Amino acid sequence: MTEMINPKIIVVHDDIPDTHPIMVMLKVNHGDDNVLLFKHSQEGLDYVLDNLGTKMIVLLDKNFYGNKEISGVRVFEKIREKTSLVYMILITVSKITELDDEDLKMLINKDLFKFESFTSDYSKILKLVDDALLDLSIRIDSVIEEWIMRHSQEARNRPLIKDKDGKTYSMDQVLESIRQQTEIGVEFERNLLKLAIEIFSRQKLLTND
Amino acid sequence: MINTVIAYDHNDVDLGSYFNSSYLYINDLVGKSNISVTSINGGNCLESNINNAVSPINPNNFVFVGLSHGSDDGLCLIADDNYVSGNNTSIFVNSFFYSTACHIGRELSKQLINDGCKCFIGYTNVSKAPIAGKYVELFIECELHALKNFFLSTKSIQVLFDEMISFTDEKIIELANGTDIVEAMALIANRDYMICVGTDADKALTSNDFN
Repeated sequence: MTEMINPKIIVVHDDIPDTHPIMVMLKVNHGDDNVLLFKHSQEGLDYVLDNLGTKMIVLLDKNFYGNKEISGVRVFEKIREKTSLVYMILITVSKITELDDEDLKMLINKDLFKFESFTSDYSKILKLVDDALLDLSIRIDSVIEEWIMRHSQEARNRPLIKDKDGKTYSMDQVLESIRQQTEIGVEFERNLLKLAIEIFSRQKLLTND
Repeated sequence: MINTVIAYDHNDVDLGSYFNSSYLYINDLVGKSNISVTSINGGNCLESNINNAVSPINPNNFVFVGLSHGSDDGLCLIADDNYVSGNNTSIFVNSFFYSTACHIGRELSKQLINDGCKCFIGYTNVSKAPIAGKYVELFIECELHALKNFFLSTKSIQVLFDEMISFTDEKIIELANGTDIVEAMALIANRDYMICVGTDADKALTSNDFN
């Protein structure tokens, strides 16, 4: 087993310094080592995709300036192509009405956690980060991911489940399927929930008499 | 005697051993119950061989057991033609059709019943097998529980099906009480995909009706 990894808060924003009040508050609340700032969207995206086994909340700026930068919406889309288990909060100084219709549909349909204006009232954003962390901690898919990631790579490569159509799936394959929300992963989540309910339903009710 | 035809693919690369163990589990009842078994294995599981084995006995009630891969279309060997499909469902008239193959409860069961099969028990989706050998006997015991007790008792098919679900429930909890969570989850999937299809009257049939 490897050590449990603390959730990381990944801020991808080109217009705030490391000394910005929101960065300071995030570090106070979650620890210096757990808050990372990326000023270039591609670097932020690369970090997230290279660390999918780490629980992450991504605070993502919508607008990036410069020809080499990809927009926050595209970063969101590319992360969603790989995993449904990273919570993302899109922050912007723009109005929501300025979002392209197709982008807005995509953000909603692919589960953007929250959308918030980037104003001087940082408490709203800090609260959203706390909400996201709480939500992530009680999601069954996220809990399974954490359980799998606590195993060694060797254990994660060993077969975990076997179908009677002859296919076997390792922990890593189940995890990949959970992140992509495809059938094997979804069924794994469903069966774990059913098992929990089976066990729970056999729990004797406590009474006062 | 209860005429029983068992088709099993003991040659399958991944699951041949499992299918063979399933076959032996049932065949072990010869001598302990009133059954007469005709077995068709491996590469002999062809539509023509199945038809030849079943046609002479189907004027009377009989039992058919399929232990191999399956799909929505029927029972099959990997990368080979179906040996039970819409082509030959009509020969299973008067059968109690029991299979542990994946998927066949979804479509094939309907065709079988429409063509005069008395009762069907099988899976509606991809069923699970255990990774570790020590759980093989348990998984087989769970999924063949109703069939075994059909031969050993005079309980109705419906009662036996319900008892199989309860039996599997108990085993799920036993596994979960230990450290065998993944196996418990696999048994939950199997339990939930297992169906019994037939009219109420046919589900009330017992082994006495097949003697």
